[in-house]
Amino acid sequence: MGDIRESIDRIVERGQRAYAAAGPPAPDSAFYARRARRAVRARAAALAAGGVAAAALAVLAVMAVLPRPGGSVEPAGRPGSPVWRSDVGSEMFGTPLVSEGRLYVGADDGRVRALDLADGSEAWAFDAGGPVRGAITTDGRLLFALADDGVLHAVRDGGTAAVPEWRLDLADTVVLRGVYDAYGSAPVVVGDALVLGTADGVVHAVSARDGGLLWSFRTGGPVRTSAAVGDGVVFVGSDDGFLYALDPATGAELWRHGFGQPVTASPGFHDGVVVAGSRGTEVRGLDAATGEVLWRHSLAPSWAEASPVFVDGLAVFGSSSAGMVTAVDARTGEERWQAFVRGWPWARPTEADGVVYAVTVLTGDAVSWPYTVYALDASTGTPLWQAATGDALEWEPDGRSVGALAGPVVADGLVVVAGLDGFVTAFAAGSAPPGQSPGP
Amino acid sequence: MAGWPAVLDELVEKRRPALVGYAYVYTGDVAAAEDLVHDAILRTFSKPRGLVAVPQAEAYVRRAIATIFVNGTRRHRRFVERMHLLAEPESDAVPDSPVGRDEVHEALLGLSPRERACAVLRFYEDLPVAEVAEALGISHGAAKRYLSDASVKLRERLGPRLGLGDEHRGAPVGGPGAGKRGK
Repeated sequence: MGDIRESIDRIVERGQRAYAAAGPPAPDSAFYARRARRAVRARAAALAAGGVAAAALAVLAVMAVLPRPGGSVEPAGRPGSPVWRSDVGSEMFGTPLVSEGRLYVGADDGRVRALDLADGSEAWAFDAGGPVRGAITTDGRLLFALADDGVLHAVRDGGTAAVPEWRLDLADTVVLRGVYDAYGSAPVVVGDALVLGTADGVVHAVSARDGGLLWSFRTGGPVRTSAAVGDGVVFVGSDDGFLYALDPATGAELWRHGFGQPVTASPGFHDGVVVAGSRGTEVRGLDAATGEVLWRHSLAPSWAEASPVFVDGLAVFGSSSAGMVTAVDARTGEERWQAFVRGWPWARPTEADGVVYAVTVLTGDAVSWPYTVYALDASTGTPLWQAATGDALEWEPDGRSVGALAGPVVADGLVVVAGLDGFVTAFAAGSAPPGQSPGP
Repeated sequence: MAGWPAVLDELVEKRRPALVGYAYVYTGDVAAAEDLVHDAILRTFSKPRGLVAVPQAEAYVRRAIATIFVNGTRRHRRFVERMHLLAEPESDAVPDSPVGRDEVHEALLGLSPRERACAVLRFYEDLPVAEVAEALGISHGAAKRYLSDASVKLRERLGPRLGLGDEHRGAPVGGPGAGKRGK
């Protein structure tokens, strides 16, 4: 048996072979030479100007000219300030649930919290035993949370404490996360059942009443998405690259559509069309009855890590490194508007009163741009205002990161964001920045 | 002696596959490895360093790969310039299986980033502990601790069959597999 050095040599060789076989086109030396000269000039200018501030400006100047795919470099809206902030102390990835004046959110510390929507004060916290990275859902009676260890919890809001009703251990496999595997599946209520996916690649249907297992359907990869429901069909994506249409009564497969890349964003359903993206480059509109592709919208060269919200017949979705929110006709895929935002708007946007709210996560150089919450005009995509959340506590695909990966929610005149900074932050919803009158 | 542009040219044109292979040890993912190499080259040549030979530049790039991997400060390409590398076109065919990894690589990828970087620099690059610490910008004691932890975890995962040396052995952890052995 060889020693560790020989073993690593073989790994290096394997990496070289894989790169040679499938490596994408890479910048040539002239590119690096240009960048090197630019960096040296910027550094020299900063030093000549004498100071950290000048150095920062030089870096920003370089950033400002980085190419973006058309459109403006930054939104024109004005910053908004929060109404309240609640310190959860742990990153949150799942979209909060608002119900009867309370906000429920899961976090990486394994706790599900109930906050008072009016001021963000904590009413109770429930220990789910593992990170909760999907949304909290409810059937109107119980709250449901799926932890990374595969245990589904059903609790009742007892006012000052969560009252456990039942729990179900669904998987032997704990979710293993690579750097971009941020999300977890959330239970979705379908009639009297809950449909959800687990790390072992299984889609489960569970009785919401008592946690009895109704059916299960095995896919070829971890299921990190939440299901969409429409026309009596369940639609769910898997890391195996397929979107599945399942019969909610039996779990029987009705059709599947191959994206060829992991389907990591939760699909949406509207008027007979399933809209879904993947870690490929296309958002696709599929006929909900047959799985036939009705339209394709390319976000190339960005991932189409985009869950849609539907607004007046438009499908509105984010992107990954393209840094834009797009609205297309949900039936035809015809593009209506695009809004450029700084960062990756992975989370499903939300909409209220003609305003689309989207959040982004930022890393690397981009952290010098502080705003990660965007309000956009739903009919035109025009940026209305923007707001900041703080730095991430630990999640770091690329080092330091800021912003939010959980989708925003709107209720009682507030847009609420559960951030990577461990805070739940509420802003005044509407077209004007909080505390300011609408612009001219 | 060649100037830095010629060094850069040869490094990028001829040594990039080897550097991607090296970065792949850290990342376990070829696209991420290429990203890491990209940023390491940018970092290496963004300062005047008097680089006049390819091996000298490559040593800088390898250190930069380790530090960027650990510190997670990869920048430009992730956000804008490497967008085309993040995404791959769809196909309607059944997805291929991921590139296979061997047991040693899986064990390395099971270490924390700092443990992994310390292990690669010490056991593969053969750097003394002091230089491992310097390369990663951590204290000597921290480097020893990461190496010790990495050694224990690698032995637990792989058994007592790889020549990890004994100098970084920490307090015994676990059963008989954690006992001292010579190579």
